[in-house]
Amino acid sequence: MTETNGDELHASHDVNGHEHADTDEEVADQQNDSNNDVQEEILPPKPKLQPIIAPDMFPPPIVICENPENYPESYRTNTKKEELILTFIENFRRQYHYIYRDRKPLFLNPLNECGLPKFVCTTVQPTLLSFSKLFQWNDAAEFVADHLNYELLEPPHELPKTLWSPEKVLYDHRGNCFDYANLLCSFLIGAGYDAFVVSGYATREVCFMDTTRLPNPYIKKREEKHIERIKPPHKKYTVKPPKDLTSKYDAYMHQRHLDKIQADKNRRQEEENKRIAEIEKPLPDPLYGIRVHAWVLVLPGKREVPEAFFIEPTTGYGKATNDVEYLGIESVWNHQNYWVNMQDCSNGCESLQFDLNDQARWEFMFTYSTSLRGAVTATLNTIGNSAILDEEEDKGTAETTQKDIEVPPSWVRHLDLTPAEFQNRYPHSRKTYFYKKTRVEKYAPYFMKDGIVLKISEFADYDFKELIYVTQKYEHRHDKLEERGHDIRTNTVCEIYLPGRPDQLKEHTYGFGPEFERTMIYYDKARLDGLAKRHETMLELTDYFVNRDDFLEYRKALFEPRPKKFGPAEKDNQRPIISITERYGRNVELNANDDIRELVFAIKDDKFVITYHRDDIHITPSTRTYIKPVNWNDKTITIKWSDDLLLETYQADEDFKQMSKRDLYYKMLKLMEQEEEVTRRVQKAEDEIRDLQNRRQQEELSNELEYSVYDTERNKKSREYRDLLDKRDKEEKRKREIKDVDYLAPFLAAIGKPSRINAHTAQTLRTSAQHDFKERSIRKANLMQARYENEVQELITKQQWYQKHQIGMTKEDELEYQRVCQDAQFRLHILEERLDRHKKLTAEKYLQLESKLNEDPRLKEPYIIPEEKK
Amino acid sequence: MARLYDAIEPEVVSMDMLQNAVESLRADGDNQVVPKEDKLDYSAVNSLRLDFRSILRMENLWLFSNLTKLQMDNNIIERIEGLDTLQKLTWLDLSFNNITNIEGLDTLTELTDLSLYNNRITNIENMDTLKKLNVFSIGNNQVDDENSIRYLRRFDNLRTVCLRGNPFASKPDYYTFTIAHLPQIHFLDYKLIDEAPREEALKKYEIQIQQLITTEDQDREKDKKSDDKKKQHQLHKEAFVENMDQNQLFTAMFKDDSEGQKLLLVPGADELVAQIEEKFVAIVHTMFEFGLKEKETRDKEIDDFWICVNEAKDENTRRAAVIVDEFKEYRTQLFAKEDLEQQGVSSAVAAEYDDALTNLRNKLMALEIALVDQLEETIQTFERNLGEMVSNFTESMRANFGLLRELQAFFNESIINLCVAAVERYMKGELDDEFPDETRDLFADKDTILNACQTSDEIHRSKLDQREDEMFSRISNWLTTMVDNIHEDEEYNRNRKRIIEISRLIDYLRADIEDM
Repeated sequence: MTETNGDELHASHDVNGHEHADTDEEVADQQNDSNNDVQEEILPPKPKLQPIIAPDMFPPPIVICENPENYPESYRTNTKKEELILTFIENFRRQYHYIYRDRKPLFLNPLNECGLPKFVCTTVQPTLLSFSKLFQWNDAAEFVADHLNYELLEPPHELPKTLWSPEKVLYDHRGNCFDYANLLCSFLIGAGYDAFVVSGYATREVCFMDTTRLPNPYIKKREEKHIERIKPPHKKYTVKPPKDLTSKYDAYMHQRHLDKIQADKNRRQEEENKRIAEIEKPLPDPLYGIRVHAWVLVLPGKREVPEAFFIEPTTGYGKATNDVEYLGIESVWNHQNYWVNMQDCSNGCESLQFDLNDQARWEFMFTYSTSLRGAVTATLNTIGNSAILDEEEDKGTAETTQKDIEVPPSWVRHLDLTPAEFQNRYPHSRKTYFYKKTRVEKYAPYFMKDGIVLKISEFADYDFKELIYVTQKYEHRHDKLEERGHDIRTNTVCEIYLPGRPDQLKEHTYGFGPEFERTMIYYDKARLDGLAKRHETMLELTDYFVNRDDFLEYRKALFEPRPKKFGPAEKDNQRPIISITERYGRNVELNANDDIRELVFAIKDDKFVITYHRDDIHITPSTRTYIKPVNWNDKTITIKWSDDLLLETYQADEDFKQMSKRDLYYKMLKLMEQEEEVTRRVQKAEDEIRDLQNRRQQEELSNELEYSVYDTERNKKSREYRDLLDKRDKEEKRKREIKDVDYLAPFLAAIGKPSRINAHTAQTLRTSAQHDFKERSIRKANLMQARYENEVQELITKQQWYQKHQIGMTKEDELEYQRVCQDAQFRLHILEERLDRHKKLTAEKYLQLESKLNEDPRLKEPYIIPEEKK
Repeated sequence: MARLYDAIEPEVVSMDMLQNAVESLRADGDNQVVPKEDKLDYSAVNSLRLDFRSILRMENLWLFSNLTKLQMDNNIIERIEGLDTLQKLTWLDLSFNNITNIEGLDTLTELTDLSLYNNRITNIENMDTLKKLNVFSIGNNQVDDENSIRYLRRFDNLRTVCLRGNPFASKPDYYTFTIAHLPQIHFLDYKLIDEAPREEALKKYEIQIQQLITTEDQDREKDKKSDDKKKQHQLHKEAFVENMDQNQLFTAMFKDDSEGQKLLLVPGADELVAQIEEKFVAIVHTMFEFGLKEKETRDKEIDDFWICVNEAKDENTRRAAVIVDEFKEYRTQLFAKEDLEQQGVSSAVAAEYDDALTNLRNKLMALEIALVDQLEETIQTFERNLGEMVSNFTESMRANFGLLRELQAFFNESIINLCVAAVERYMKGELDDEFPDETRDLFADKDTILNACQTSDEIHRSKLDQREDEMFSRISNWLTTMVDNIHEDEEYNRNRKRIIEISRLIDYLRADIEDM
């Protein structure tokens, strides 16, 4: 690491004026040579020179560009401005190297994919893609991390020689950390963040993108709610607590015992933690501190970022600027400027300040007037400036001849991503990550047949051998399955569904095996019966309800163990019910003592037990127990009341009204009806469970994904419909075009289709068009008139003929004559009408033509006649 | 309608009749599945039908306090009476009777349906309290009066009215008049009123209705004001400073004092009275303010007390209930085990259960005793604090009354001086023209005038004393009543109830094993 004195480069330049004069001289002398040197050193030899040289004597070219003609112009050549900038940079580099001999070289002008040196600032192409998901920094970072495959730097302690355009990176789905950072930075600046690419040093784990020591980011946040019991404020009349008669000594001893146990536990926990830390501690790294890495820095000020932070582009995580994983910064840059870090990095990045305008800490390459930071114009730093001055010129004039210089616009084409590419997201539509004891597989939506998009496998050990828990997330499933968690150890599955299933299932927890516990949670608001949860165990079935008008809270059925049978199990064999319990909430409209809280239908014991709600002032609820009459099942007999039927009654207060025998009797009849109803419901619930199991199996097999109606790419129906609409639109358009006959065309053709005409010609065109129209209508009218007259003539001759031969005509002839006459009359009528219509329409049409001619752009200034489209 | 009395013997509403009426409404009819109960439970009856019976007087119905529906149509009733106790009545049918006046319905505030069809009523009246009236049938009567229709405007919930068969209904503009004046009804004579005729009618009677509305609004305003005033007065009364917000006390002092009023005619008395009144009223007003403030603090104290007491009681009850629930759980488990093995309970289990019962009883009792202790202490504190407040109030008021008395003494002195001066001047004959004749006698003599002054002073003082006594006795009364009530309800009654409940519970639970 370089020792920094905090001085600015140009400040030291002033102090050591003499030395610099020499440097300048030297630089000026070697300028041309050095340029050549650089090219020889870095650039690959030109292909036409190669055939002579044996390949093994020279290092192979760093960049092999097979068909450079596929790349656009800006990729293959440097513009003059870029050349100029490269020259400045070279000078900057030389001086930097001269002043700070022990600092490592800077990452300034790596080669691009065509083998051309490009300044790193111009490789950043700020782009805002049209996906709202890339607008937040964390989403953008996650996208970059997901989209690319990581390549290590080789060797790990040196800067790469190349930096590809973000376009190629995006297209190729791969890149090293510099490519990652560059691409992400382009997105972030495009989204309005104040983001920078950072070139520096990091630990091996970061450089290797080794996430196996990081906790799984997808781990379910188990909500721990600490309900702090707020002690009610002591009011004036709060009663004193009853006397505490327990021994204080006992309590003390007990507490001491507990403390000891707790301390023991803590100690063990600590040991365990230590042990785990020992296991997880990475092996010592011989290259610690010199591994080159690139990441992204976001400064506060824009997009409501409160403070500076790093983004690790390879994983997409946000990190604090004092993260211990980052060991030092050489330089940072964005699309406008380049800053070199002048602060001491021996403590990592912990004490770094990120005020880039602070010249004592950050050496910039281009000076900007601070108020105009972000403007495109920049002036060269004094050092760079003096380098291109003539050697004779002294420093006094150097200030005055400062030349404004612009960072040329990025040579990279604008980044673009099709929605399909964006949706595919991962290289080959899938990607696998490893975290501490966790494997995460990600898939693009619609890529897998069952709609899986995320699979998280948690393991018990570090070697990914003993599977504990698998979480799978799905999208676009027809059965609305959103998430499935499989606990391997207990062999239970928990499925979570989106709203919209016909049975309104929300969560389904079940195990395997015939008689296993299962819990179903429903979207209770969507269900008519308000069912919120259903819990089934071997001998119990409980339905929980919410928001019911009858205040039912739950219904619980107890079953007898199924008689063990040999042979094939009968599926529809209902389990015999021991009892059904219904619990009701408090209906405030009734008296507590009349409001039933619990209703037990003890079916096996032929009993009903009613428990009422407890009043606020009583400590016991009233209860009432009935015994079913012996012959209750016999419908033919009317059950008579007898005092034995009411087994026992307990009233919490003797003032409570006793029910009359008649009321009790009807109550019991009602209970018997209710029992039947409730039994039916329980059986229905059982059937529903069985149905659900079957349906789920079928759904799993069918494996269908649904497509949104707006997704015309995938939804066939939708696309067909869309195509149809398009087609119709086109046809409509064409029809309209046909309708608009160009009435000027023949006249224009007559004068040889000129591209321009003058006012006089326009006038002639107009009059001739009108004239033509008039003539045509007259001709048409004349034609019709003539026909009409013809017809009349014919009719008259026919009539004359008839009158002559009237006597002595056969009946057939007469009929024939009448028919002919009728025909002629009919034709005459039609002709007459046509003529009439023609007369009316002609006037209208003429007016239309006139207005059209008046509005025709070709007959107005400047009389340009557009070329006809073919 | 026109039944002849001599043709039918009027029936009396007797016990048998009622019993039969109640029984006949039961669903099971003659089927004797349930043994008849010996005694009729009046309060359990919801509806009663006494029709076609030639009942002449509505009587013996007062026991049916929960009755909601009463049918007494087709009788020969002449007066509506005896319904005062049936406050839950919502449905009353008195059609086809001989009623001539609407009356006796004032207590039936829940009434929604009222049928007086086919009677002899001439005026719709005396129904102001039936705010919930929804259906009202008064067809086939003798109503012939616009005011009766206007009377129905006050029932906001009225939707259906039947008026046909009245002389009024045969008038030509009957329909338009009615629908214009009763905008809240939807059905007239059981026919839906259309929008169009309603609008037309409204236009026709626009001016009259506007006037009606204005007067109604004024009336409503007046009612509201007097209501507010009453409430205000009630509040002042509870603060024991009623009639002290203005100069009522001062005027009251002079009201019964005929001599004193004469004295005030003395020259210079006007100024004096004005001066004294100002001071007097100022003091009274501070007393008034103080009284209101004190009431507020007292109310807050009482609220605090009740909140805490209720919290303590609820908490205690909850804990006891938890104990009971736990015990019941235990009991079910205990007997569930037992029943499987044999019929009846073994003695070992019975003994265990008995022990558990004793234990339960002890626990509940301990809780109760703890609560009694807690409450007793709290109530004592509360009593002490409230007593202090009251004595504080009394003392401060007493001091103020002292000021008032001083003022009165000063006034008296001044007036004596004035009078003496006046008498002297009178003696000299300077005051001849100003005095009316009857006062002249008073000023004839120094002794007379002094006597008069003294009487007046005494009257004034006694007024003040009276007011003071009243205030203090009322506040101390209030305090003792409240404290006594608290002691009675919270300490004695509550405890008694709880103990009874516990022993009932224990007895009930013990029955489990005693049966065996």
